Amino acid sequence: MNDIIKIIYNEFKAIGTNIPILIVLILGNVGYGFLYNLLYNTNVYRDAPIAIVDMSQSDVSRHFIDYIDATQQVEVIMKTQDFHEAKRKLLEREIVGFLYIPSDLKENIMCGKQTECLIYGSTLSFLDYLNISEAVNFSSLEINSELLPEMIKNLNMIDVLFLANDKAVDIISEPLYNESEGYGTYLIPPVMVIIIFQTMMITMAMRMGDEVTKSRSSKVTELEYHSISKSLCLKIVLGKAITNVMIYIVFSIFFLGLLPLIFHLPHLGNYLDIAIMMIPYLFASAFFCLCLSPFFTDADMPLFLIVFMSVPLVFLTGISYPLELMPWHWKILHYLFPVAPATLAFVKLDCMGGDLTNIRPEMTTLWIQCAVYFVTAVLVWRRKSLKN
Amino acid sequence: MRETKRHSGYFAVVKRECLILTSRPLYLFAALIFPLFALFFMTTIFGNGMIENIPVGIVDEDESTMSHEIERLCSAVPEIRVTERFANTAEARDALLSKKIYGYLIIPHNFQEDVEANRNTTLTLCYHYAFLSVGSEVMQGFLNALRIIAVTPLQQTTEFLGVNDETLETLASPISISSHPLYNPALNYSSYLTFPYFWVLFQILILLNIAYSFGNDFNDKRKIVECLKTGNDKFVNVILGKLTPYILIFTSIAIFANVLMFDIMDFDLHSKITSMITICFLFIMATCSISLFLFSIYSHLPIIISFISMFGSLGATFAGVTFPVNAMYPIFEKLSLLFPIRHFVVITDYLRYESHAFLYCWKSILMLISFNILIILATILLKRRMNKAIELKPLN
Repeated sequence: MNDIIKIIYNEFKAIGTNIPILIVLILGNVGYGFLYNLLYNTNVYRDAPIAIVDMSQSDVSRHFIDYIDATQQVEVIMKTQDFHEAKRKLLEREIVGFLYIPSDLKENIMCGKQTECLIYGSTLSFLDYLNISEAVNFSSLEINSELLPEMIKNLNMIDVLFLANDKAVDIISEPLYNESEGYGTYLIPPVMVIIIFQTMMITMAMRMGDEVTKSRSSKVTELEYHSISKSLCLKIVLGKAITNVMIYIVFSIFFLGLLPLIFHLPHLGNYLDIAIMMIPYLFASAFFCLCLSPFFTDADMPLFLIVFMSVPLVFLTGISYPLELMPWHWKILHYLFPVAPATLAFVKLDCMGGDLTNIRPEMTTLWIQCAVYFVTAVLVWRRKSLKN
Repeated sequence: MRETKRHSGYFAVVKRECLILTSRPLYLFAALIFPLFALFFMTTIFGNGMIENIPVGIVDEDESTMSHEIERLCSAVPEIRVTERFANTAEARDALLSKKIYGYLIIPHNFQEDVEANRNTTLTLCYHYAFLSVGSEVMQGFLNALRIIAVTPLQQTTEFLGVNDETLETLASPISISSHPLYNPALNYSSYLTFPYFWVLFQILILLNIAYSFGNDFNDKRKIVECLKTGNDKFVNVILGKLTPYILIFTSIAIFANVLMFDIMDFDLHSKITSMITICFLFIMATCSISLFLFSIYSHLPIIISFISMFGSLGATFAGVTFPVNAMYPIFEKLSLLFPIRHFVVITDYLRYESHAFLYCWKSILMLISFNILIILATILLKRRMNKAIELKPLN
């Protein structure tokens, strides 16, 4: 026990006196945390600029345009009768799409005929397309219900005018766990969990790389000290892991407790459940990093691997693209990185208001990872000490 | 010295850099294997790219022929697949929380009776919006399936009155909407994200490789002198010589990636592949310049590497692929202009989908080219720093 406390003390001392590690630890974590939240703080993408090619120029089309403009998803910045002008604006990226209203709209309604209006929406960003599509479809529902009595009259079906009172089945769509339907409220909670993993990997890797660098330049080094007693390997692994877990308990409170409060992120979870989930996550991450120690041969190279993995990790969590649709080999990778099940577990707890029973599969995965990576880390460090 | 004499200084530095690259497997991994891994990852992670057959559930409180018809309709649309039936909403919520399903539809008690009696009735569809992309597909799938159900009461009356389906359709929606998703008609995720995100990953590696390569040499006065000697005491030789192997490797990867995506995987490309490769080359140069410039203003390697890592990661956001930059605060929209990846995405969007791309994206091309000025600035700054290092602490 004394050995472990000594190792923890040494680790804290080494980290506390290493300026680059401290910078990453404090500025990196705080900077990343605030910056990502600020970047997506607008949350909901509103008022996507669109144009209307109104060939009809009738009261119906104007009414329809008013409905569209009133939606929060889009803003009609141009009304024209020139299709090519709208196309040009789209090419110049001044608008993200346009609606084409044919010239015979009014006549068709008078004759009781249907009119097809066309949406041309850019898919360069799916959010743009979603916005124009939602705004136009929603507005068409509104105007269609208003036009029904007129259509019946125009079809000379006065005898069935009571049809206008017929109730269509109402369909209510209810987005769950992201009431504001925002992009920030969807992306930021998982990203916070990923940042915890990433910065923990970076600081641990920098520390291990630093150890190796020092061992090359000085005669008596920590690494050699560790290698003196092979039986200490288990304690070294535990000591290093506990140190980093202790540090990251503080940052977890910052990322998962404080930032959601400051930036009004969804918080339906119970803090105790989140804390219980974080224990295997932080330990599994620390052991995972210790397993990779042979690759961390200097203080800078680890960043390559870790930073490079940041974007793939977002995909591997299954948040942005369903895990079910990924090829099997990527699903395996999902179970290898502690961050993937932990992100899912956090989303279930904090964004969806679940409890520990709902995250049983993720907790099982995390505890298995803890055990496997702990044993592997001990073996890796044992091998390392034998080499030394 | 003999080597230096045989080659010009520039080639000697190139050779030296190649030797460094092959001296440790990790260097080669970072410059070659990681980008290829990124390419493999981004081209395979989305499967066929279509979000379809998403598991959903039905909360059937009615258990009528109409509710079974609704289930059949929901199973018929490609986006969703009914995998679970629930007796109540609590069960459905549990399944949603356990991620067995991504959405469910509630068919209320007496639904069929209400429809037939022309009473107000409501179908509620709930979808998982903590997973935004899947949630929106589930919603779309349900809405497509339920379009017919929504006009069932009308249909029943019109059938009774002998009004045909065509007239009913006209009555129900005098204005019909036809959607034309431009550039990616199938709304395929692979076409949407593979190309830009490969480059997001690649730019992180380019930034780090360059900073690491220069940091390794320029933070050690012995290596500074060695570099200068190899480069015939010409600083330009050192800078260009060190950059050349990386630019060659990265350009080769870019050519391979373009051929793979546009020739083999058949992603849309309305311009010539050579134009695309040229822009990729300009982007590689711009990214190298940014990396070198950032390193030249602050030399402490671990800190600058951390900063560059952050810069690279932010590129994923500022590329504006998933969340448009104009939807962010104006200051971030302006800040995005400092990231070569932003201009690269704008240019390649044009190249991929428009025939006369250069007419519209020349400003972004100029911006991308102008990043190369930073190489000159970085050279001046680094030269000053090297001279200072040698003067202050001359070699023994």
